[in-house]
Amino acid sequence: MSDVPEKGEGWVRIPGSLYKVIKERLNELGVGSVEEFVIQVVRQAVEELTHKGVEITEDERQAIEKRLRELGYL
Amino acid sequence: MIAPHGGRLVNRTLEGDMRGEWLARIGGWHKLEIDYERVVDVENIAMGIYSPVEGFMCRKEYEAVLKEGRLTDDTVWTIPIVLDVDKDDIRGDRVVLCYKGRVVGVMEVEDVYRYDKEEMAKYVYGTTDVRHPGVERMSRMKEYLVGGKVWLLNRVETKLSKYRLTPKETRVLFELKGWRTVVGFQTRNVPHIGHEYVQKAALTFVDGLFINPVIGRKKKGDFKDEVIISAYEELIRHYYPKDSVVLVTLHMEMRYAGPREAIHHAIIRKNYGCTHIIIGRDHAGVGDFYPPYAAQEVFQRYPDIGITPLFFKSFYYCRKCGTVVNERICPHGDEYRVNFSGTKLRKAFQQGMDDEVRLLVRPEVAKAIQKYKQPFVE
Repeated sequence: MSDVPEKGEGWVRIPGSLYKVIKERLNELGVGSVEEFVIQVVRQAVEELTHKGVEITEDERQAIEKRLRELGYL
Repeated sequence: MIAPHGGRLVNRTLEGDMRGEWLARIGGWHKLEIDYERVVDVENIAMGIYSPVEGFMCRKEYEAVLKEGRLTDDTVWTIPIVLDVDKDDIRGDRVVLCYKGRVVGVMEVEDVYRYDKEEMAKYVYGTTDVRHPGVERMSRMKEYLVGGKVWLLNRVETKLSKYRLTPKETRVLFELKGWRTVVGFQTRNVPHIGHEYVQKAALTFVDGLFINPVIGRKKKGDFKDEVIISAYEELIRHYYPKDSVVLVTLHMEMRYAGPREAIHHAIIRKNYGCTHIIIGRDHAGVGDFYPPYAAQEVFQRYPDIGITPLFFKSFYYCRKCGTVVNERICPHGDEYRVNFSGTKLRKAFQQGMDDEVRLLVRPEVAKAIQKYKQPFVE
């Protein structure tokens, strides 16, 4: 990953034992390095974290429902 | 309901008083004529189909997408959404985007920059071969790109606009139908029984099927948009359970970018509210530019995409099984196989159906296609 810094901001330590477990199972995990695995897992967690619904007002909902009925979807 | 990509659904459509105010202000602004493919990009941005993208990409965003397959905030994104211009096309920091002289929207210009077409082709298409339709199209692009957020003022209506819904509308539709899980099906073809089999196999495990044909520029020999819609309407009418499927069009040019475009297609369906997407053999591919299952393998690189891909092997009709199968469920050899070849189907519709082709296409679908004198893009 070209944008991962050597140290400083964005550089994270993980316990050595955890590092070792991941390193031994790279093939099984389908990744090329510990770093790649950690990034994958964190990205998935962030994706879930930013999970937000879509705000639709009642007026909007009614207008949409009307249009969907007119178009034959409902 | 599944979250939109990047966590929020973009809405950059100006309506009501706000729209009136903008229309009154733009008279003296520089006008830029854009082609229909860029018009639909503006519309797709504004309606949230490309969420979280809010405009044509500036240099930093463009380079991140090209080189990392992600936006600068790390969100998965694989296809550059760009507007090509000549150097002198841009004057001022706001430009009125027009199509055939009619105002479509406004762009807040942030960046005008040169780009390397060969580099873009290599990253997006994996080739610089101009026989690839995407590369060929790119070779005709202008030398600069302009980036900035857009606002939509007027949609361009087409004869198929009635099939076009916004992600907000599809999300309400799914909710009203009581669908918690929805599988998206991307297509640029008329349906044969192999497509139907894949769709129904997926539908077995989810609440609803979202058939979403791409409407827009395609290559010579592809089926025309209206033919695809008619064929699907017939298939749905005769062969699908009521209330388990909806047909909505996606107005966007096909880029034939294989794996990268498969990711793009998945993101778009996620924005529509799909929880799953079907990815078959050679998804969004063309000729032999991509390995047959590259578009499935690429999903391993993006585990945080937030939509579940359902991978399918290629289907064929097996004379011994007497049904549509794939190599994972059929033990019989090549001598029993009738493949769903697009070339075979095209030929059949030009020269007449034989018994073999009748095994591959529903009669009602064939009839709908045969109503058209020239069903193919010329």
